[in-house]
Amino acid sequence: MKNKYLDLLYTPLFKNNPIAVQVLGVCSALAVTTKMKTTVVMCLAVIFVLSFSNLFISIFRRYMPGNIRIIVEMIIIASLVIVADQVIKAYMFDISKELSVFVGLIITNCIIMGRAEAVAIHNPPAFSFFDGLGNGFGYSLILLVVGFVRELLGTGKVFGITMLKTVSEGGWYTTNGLFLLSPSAFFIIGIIVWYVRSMEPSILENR
Amino acid sequence: MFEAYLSLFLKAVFIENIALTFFLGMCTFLAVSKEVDTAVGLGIAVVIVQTITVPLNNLVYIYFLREGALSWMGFPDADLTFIGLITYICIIAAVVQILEMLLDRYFPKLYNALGIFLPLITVNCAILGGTLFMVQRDYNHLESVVYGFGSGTGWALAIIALAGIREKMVYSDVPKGLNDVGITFIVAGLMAIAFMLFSGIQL
Amino acid sequence: MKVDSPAGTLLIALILAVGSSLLISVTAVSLKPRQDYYRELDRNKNVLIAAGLFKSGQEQNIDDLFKKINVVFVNTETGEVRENIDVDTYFKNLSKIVTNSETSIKLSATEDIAGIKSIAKYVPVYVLGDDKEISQVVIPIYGKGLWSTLYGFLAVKSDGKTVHGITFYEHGETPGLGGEVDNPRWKQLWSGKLLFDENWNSKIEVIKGIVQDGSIEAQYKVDGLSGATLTARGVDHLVKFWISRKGIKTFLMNIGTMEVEF
Repeated sequence: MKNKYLDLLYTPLFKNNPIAVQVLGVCSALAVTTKMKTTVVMCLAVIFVLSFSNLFISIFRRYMPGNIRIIVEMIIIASLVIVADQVIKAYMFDISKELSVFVGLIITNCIIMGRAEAVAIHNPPAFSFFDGLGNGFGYSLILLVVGFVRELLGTGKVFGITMLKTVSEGGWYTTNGLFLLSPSAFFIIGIIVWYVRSMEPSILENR
Repeated sequence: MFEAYLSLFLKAVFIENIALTFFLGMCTFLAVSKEVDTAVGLGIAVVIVQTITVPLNNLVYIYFLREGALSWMGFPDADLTFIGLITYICIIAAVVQILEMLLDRYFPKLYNALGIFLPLITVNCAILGGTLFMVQRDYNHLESVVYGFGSGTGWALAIIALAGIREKMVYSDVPKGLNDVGITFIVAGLMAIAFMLFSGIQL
Repeated sequence: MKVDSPAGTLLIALILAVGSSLLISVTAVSLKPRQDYYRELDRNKNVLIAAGLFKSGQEQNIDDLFKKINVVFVNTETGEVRENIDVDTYFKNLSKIVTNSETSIKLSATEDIAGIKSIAKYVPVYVLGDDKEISQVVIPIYGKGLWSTLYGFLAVKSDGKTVHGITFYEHGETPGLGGEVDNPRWKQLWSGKLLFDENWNSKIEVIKGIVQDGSIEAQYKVDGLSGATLTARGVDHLVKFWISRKGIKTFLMNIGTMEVEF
């Protein structure tokens, strides 16, 4: 029993990472990773929505009529996203301004719908919940790495704390503005995917 | 007057392309863009859906959801924006479903060509994203039509270009781990840089 | 009743609709007061930031710091000053105020460089100072950027000409690009710049590229934002609009004659 759940939490970190391997959920991720602070809030929101949507969809899986199944899943996911969005607007107003529409876009985040169809529909609630958690962590891992690299190299700071003293503060580091712009996120993820796939030859065998 | 709409269109297609600047619609983008033909089919489908859903959602937003919108029903203080997300995604799903049925009935060849893409569009971030940006920027009716058409076209442009590049890359020697997904990201990044040069244009 | 039958489908759909509506509505309604409070707090915080009075980490002192500030309303046609109008109501009902012909003034196409179509007859201005001496005024400014309307504050010293600070607290520009108007480093560039020359001609400008320090013209110019030309141009236009005669230029020219008590 215990091993199964640990496995669910561990596998999506590398071997079956939603972004690097399954290639899902990239969309809403990249635009918010210019700062660690916004990245962390985004990750928490995704973990919340992913695990609970899996949970609820799994609980109701026997009661979903065939022809409206997708819509039912979407409504459950959308409700959870709205709750998350309202909570962020109420308790972290500054960050909600920076996240703007991207919290709402979690609804269309392919990972959530993907895992719902692949796992939650066919498995019991506890299993589905942990699968959601695991994939949420896998997604967060990638996002946190991207956010860390982008904020550090783009501004010299991490979480707003100066790690590399920039020239404008009298230090030595000339900030690399490219990292604050969209293409850098593409490059970083490309390199991460390269790394993960090289590390896990089992994935390459299938190509 | 016309200038403003033209500039909005050009902004949506080139200057802040919804796929290359905001990263929306990436999943399908990456999974599908292997051949130009399929990319064109998907692109057209997105343009159609986007041009219909953004103005439609705009109507719903202005007459039902926005603060003060329900004053024609006698509820001037109602602010239903929080229910927006669910409403928009349901409308998008409904439009796609209806479109599917219409195509199947009246244009079966087109329906078969688009195949599986139509249902996939419902969860395409770019479609919902277009609507959400329209809400955030408070467009009027005509602006939302222009923006819907523009953002759809921009997305289609990006995906077709990427498919073209990937088709050519079959002949290149890409390192094993970087193949497929990895190199697509890097190419997309380079395209994004290329599109950034449009940001200096004065309209 | 089978799940897949029409009746079953309808019932499930109904339960789902009611259930999710309940969940969402309860969340939204119970959190709304908190959200409104923070939106207002954020706006007030930005007035203080523009004025250079806010140090980060001082969230709890915003209300105290605000007590020292006087709010007046300025008639945008005459420059006449009025007190005793509620500023929170102004911000809350801004969209209604500017569309109501009784409380607003329409702008012609050539006047409307900020793209806002009309402005209120009375706009609020925050006045700061000590005893009877005014130190600076903070004006709400807004106008079209690349995509959205930017809302911010411009703090002007008591001479009516020197910029003390600028902030933007609400906008829908692209994060990392146009969103950089909210970057403290760019906002810092405005500090000390002059809006007008000695004859009250409007000279402030956001240029493309970096300002060459040292020339006389440098004191009127602000660096542009790379990758965000259109947003920066929007800022340039909206600032120019609000300090023009259609905005509150008359008020700025007459700050010296204003009588206020703090």
